[in-house]
Amino acid sequence: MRQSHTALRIFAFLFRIVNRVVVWHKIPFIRLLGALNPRVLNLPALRYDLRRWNLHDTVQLPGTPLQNPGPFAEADRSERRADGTHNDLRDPMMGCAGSRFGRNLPLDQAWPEPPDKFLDPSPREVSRILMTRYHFIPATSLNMLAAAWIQFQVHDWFSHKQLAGQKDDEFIKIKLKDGDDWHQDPMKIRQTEPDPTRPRGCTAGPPTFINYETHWWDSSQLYGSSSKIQKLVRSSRGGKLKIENGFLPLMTSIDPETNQPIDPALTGVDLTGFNDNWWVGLSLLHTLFAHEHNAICDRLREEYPAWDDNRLFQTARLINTALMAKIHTVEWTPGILGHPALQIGMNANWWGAFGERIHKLVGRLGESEELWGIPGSPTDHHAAPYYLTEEFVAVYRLHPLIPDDYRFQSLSDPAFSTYKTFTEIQGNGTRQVITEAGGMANALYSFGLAHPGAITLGNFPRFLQKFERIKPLPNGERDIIDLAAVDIVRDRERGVPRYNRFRRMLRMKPVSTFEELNPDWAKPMADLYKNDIERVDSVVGLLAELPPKGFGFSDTAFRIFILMASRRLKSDRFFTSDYRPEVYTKVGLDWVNDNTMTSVLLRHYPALAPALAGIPNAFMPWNNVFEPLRY
Amino acid sequence: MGVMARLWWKLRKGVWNRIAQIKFKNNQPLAVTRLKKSRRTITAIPFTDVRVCGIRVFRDIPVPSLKAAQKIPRDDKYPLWQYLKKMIVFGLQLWACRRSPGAWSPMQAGLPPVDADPFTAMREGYTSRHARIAKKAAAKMSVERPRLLQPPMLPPELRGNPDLGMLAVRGPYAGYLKRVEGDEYAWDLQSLSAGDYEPHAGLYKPWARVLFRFDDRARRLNATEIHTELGTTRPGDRDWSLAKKLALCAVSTHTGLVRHWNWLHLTTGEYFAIATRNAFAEHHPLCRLLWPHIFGTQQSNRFGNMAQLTRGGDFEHIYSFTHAGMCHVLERSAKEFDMMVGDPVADAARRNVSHLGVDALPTQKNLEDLFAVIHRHARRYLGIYYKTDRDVQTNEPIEKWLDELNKLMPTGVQVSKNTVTLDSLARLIARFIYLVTAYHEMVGACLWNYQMWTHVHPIRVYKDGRREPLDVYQRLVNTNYLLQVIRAPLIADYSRLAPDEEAKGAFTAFRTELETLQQTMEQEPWAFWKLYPNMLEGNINA
Repeated sequence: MRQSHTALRIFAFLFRIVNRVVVWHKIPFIRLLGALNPRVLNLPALRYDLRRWNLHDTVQLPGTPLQNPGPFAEADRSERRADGTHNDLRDPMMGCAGSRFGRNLPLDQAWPEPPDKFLDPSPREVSRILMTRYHFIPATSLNMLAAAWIQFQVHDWFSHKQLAGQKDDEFIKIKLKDGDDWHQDPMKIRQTEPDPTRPRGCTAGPPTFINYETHWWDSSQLYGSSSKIQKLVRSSRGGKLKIENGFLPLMTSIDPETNQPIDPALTGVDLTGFNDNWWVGLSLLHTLFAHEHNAICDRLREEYPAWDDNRLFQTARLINTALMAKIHTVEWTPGILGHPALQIGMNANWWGAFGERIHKLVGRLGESEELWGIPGSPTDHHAAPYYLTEEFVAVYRLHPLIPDDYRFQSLSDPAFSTYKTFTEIQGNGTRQVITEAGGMANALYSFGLAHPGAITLGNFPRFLQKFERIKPLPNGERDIIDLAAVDIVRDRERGVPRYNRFRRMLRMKPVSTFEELNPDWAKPMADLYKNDIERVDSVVGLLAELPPKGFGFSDTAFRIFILMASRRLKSDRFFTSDYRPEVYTKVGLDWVNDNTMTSVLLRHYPALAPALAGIPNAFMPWNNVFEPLRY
Repeated sequence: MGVMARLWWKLRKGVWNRIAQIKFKNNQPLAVTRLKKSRRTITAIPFTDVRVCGIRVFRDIPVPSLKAAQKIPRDDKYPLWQYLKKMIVFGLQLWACRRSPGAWSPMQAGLPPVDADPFTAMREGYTSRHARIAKKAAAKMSVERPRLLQPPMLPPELRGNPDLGMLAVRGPYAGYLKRVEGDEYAWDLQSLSAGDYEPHAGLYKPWARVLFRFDDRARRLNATEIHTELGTTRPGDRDWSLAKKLALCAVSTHTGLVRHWNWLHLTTGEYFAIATRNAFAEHHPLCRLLWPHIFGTQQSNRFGNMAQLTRGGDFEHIYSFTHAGMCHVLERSAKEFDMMVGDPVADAARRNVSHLGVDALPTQKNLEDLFAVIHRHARRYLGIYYKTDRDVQTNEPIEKWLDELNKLMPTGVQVSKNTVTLDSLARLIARFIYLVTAYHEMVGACLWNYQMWTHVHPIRVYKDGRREPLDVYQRLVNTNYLLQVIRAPLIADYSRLAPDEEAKGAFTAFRTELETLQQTMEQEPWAFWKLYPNMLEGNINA
C-alpha cells in the first residue's frame, strides 16, 4: 500500500512537470504499450493530485448534527441501508440522504456570486444566445440509451430541492431584455432550498446545500433513499421488486398503508426509487434493471433456497448495483470518452492494469487499485469524508444530449413507425408511448438506433427552454422554466466558480481569449460577457471548450469525472473492502463479472439479439434489423 | 486498389475538394442593387446557342425546349474580379471534365466503394476542411448562427428502417404525394422510366411508383406496394428493401435534376428574370417588388450549368443517367412544369391530398404558412399602386410581362392579360417569390440531409448490390456542398428598392411578418425538416 502510494507520488510529481509542457491528452499514444502508455499513466497521476487537493469537507461548517441512526447492526455489514447510513461504519452519517454536498474547491472560494454580479450577464440571455438549438448536432458514436443512462445514474447520486415558491422572495428574478417573448417579466426561478441544518444567518463559511438522495452509488434511484419508498417498490416476495405485466407499477397504484393512490396526478409515471423528470428513457432503464434485480433474486434463490425475502432483496441489490457501476465504468464511460487511453484507463479502474482476462484468471493478488482495480481494494476517502460535490453536479449538466424528436420502430413489423416530440414522451405521457411503441423491446430498439445530441453550445433542446412541470406552483400558476437559464443560476447561487476559476482550481491553465476557448462562438460569448473572459460561466465554458479527440465532453469536466468516478467506488465499503464473496456471494460476484449491458438487455428482451449482434458496446448505435445501414 | 491508384486518388480528391472549397469560399452573395436605367431587351435563345466568352459552352446539351438569355444584362453580372475568378475555376472544371476526363476530372475508374459505415463515409467525404471553409465564409460575411452550414444530419425517417410513409409528408419529397382513390395515395415517378432515359451500365433505372395507404387511426401513411424495374414488391418481400432504395433514388433524382435544376433554375428563375427585365422599366413598382428575387439569376445559372449539365459535369456523374439520358429527362420534364407547384394550397388540392389535414401533412402546413406570408406581401404591395382589377388590366407593362411569361413558361402562368385581376396577379407574384425562396430551399439545399446517406438513400442503385465508388460519393458531397453557399437572406431589408415611402412600409411589413413567423416556429420543437424563414434565401443566385 505504502509502496504503491510512493510510486504514485513520484508519478504525480513527474507528470506535473510533463503536463506543464504538454497536456495529458496530447502526450503521444502508442497503442502497443497498453496500460504502460504514458498517456494512460498520466491519468492516475492526475487523479492523485485531485484526490489530494480537490476534496473539501463541508460537514466541518457549523450546523445542527443530523439525527444519528445509532450503532450499526450486524446486518449493516452486508446490507445497504435505504438512507445510506452506516456505509462507513465509523462515520454512520457519511454520504447519507439529507447530508450536505461537499466541494471540490477550498471552502473560502465557494461563496456564491455577490448580488451585483449574480445576474451578470442575464442567465436568460446566456440561454437564448449561447444555448438555443438551431440545428440538432448529433453525437453519432452513441445511441440514445447513453443519454438516458447518465440521467438514470445522476438520479442515483444527487438531488437538490428548490423552495416551494409560495412567497415572492423565494424566487430569483431575471429582468427580460427587449424582444424576449418569455411569458412573464421578470422571469422567476425558484431558489435552491438552503441547508436547514445551518444556523440562520451563519456567515462562517459559504452556504451549503443538501443532497436528498444518498451520495453513495447504491442504485437509490431504483430502490429509494428512504425505507418508506423502499417498502413501496418491493413486492415482499422472494426479494423482488414489484413488476406488473412486464412494467413497473404506476404512481397511481394503491399505497397499502393509506389505501389511497400514491400520487393520483402522476398517471403515466412509474413507481420507483426516484421518478422526478420522468420520461421514456428513464422508464426503460428503471424497468430493465428492476427485471435484472428480480432475475438476480431468482438465481440467488436457486443457490440459497433458505434465504428470506429481505436477504434475497439486500444481496440482489448489492449485485445489481455493482453491475450497474461496472457497466458505467467499463461501457458507458469509454463509450462517451471514445479514446483508447480511456478504454484502458476505465477498464483499469474496474479490472486493474492487467485487464479483465488476467483479473478473471488469477483473481486479486494485492491491494493496489492501480494494478488490481478498485473493487476489492481497501476503502479510502482520501482528503475528505465521502460526499458528492456541487462541482460534480455542475459538470453533469448534460442536457444537450437530449434530442427534440424521437422515432419509435418495431423489431418485427418493418412498416411500424411513430414519431414523437420530447414533450410527448415525458411526464404522464411516458407509459402510453412505450405501450404504443409495442412495448419495452421496441422502445429499447428505437433508442438503440437513435443518436443523442452532442454536448456543446447551441445544442440545448428547445423544449427544455420552455419546459412545463407536471405539477403547478402552490399559487396555481403553471410551473414553466427555461432549464438552460436555470442551469446558469444554479451554479451561480451554489458558488460553483466561473469557468476560468474552475480551471485554476483544478490546476489547469485558464483560457486567455474567447478565441482560444472556442473560435466559432468567440464573438457571441465576447459580446455577452463584455469581453471579460473571467466572467464566462462554468456551464458555458464546459460546453464551449473543444474536447480532446474522441471525447464527448470537455477536458475540464473530465478532471471532475476521474476524481469522482473513482471516488464513488473507492469510498464505498461495498465496492472495496466488502466487495467479497462473504457479502456478495460467489454467485453474486460471478454475476457482476460475467454480465454486460448487452447481456442484461438480451436476458430480458431476447428479441433484441439481431439489433445487438456484433455491436461491441450497447451504448453505440445498434443494427437495423431489417435493412442494415452498413452493407 | 494499388498503391499508385490510391495515391493518385488522394491527390485528385485533394485537388477537387480544394476547388469546391475555393468556389464555396469565394462565393459572395451579390448585394442586391438597383437595376440600371438604360437596358436592352433580352432575347431568349435556344439553350444550346448560349455563348460564354464567344464559345457555345452548352452545345452538347441538346434540350431544345429550354431557352436562356442571349446576353447577361450588365447589372446582373458579377464584378469583374469575381467574374474572372469564377471563369478560371469553372473553365478549369469544364476543361478537365470534358477534354481530359481520365487524367484530370474528379472521376477515377476502378475505385473501391465508400466505407460501409455511413458516418465514416461521410467524414471522409465531408472533411473537416469543408466545414472549416464554410465557417470561415460565414464569419467573413457575418452570417447569423442559425444559417451556418452544419454537417449533414441523418433524418429520423432514414434512421433504422427507411420510412417512406413519413418521407411522403415531410421534408423535400413532400410535394410528390397524390391521391389515387379512397385511402390510397402514390408517389408516381414512372415518368423516369422512359426508354431513352438511359442509365449508366450496371445501374438500375431510377423510376418507381410507390403506393401508400392512409392509416386513419395512426394518422399516417404506410407504403404498401412499390413498382420498379424489379416488378411489384410488397412489405415482407425479399426485394422490399431494394425496392425502397430504388424509390428513394427515383424521388431524389427527380427532385435534384427536375424540380430543382430544371424547374427552378432553368425555367422559373431564367424566364421570370427575362420577362421582368423586358417588361418593366426600372421605376415600375413591380420591377422593384420582384427585383430582389430575380437579381443575379442569369449569371449564376450560366456558371451552374457549366458545372453541372455539360458533358462530364456533376449531374452525369452523380445521378444514374448518362449524359444523353439526362438531356432527355431535362427536355421532356421542362415541358411538364406547371406554376401550380408554386402554390402549396392549390398544388395540394390538385394532388387531392388537402383533406388529410395539417396533422398528417406537416410540411404542407409549413409551406402554407410561408406562402401565406409571401402572398400577403404581394397583395399588400400591389394594393398600394393598383386599387381595382381594371388598374392592372390596363397597365401596359403588366400586359407585356404576362404575355412574355405565357410565351416562355412551358405551360404558361395561368394568368393572361385578359383574365388578370388584382388577386390573380398577387397570387402569381407570390408563386414566383415562393418558388425561388421556400421551394428552392426545400428541393435544393434541404437535400443535404438526405442525399448524403447513400447507404439507405442511394443516389445510384447498382445491380450487383455494391455501394457507389469513392469518386461518385465525393462528387455528390461537393456538388451538394456548393448548393449550400451563402446567398442573400430573404429576411433582409429590401426597402431601399421601394419607389416610395408606402412601398418601403410594405417591404418592412413583409420582413416583420417573416420574423413573427420565425418566432412562432421557434416556440415549437426544432425539427430538421422544417423550413424556417431565417433559413430562406431571397433568390437563387449563387
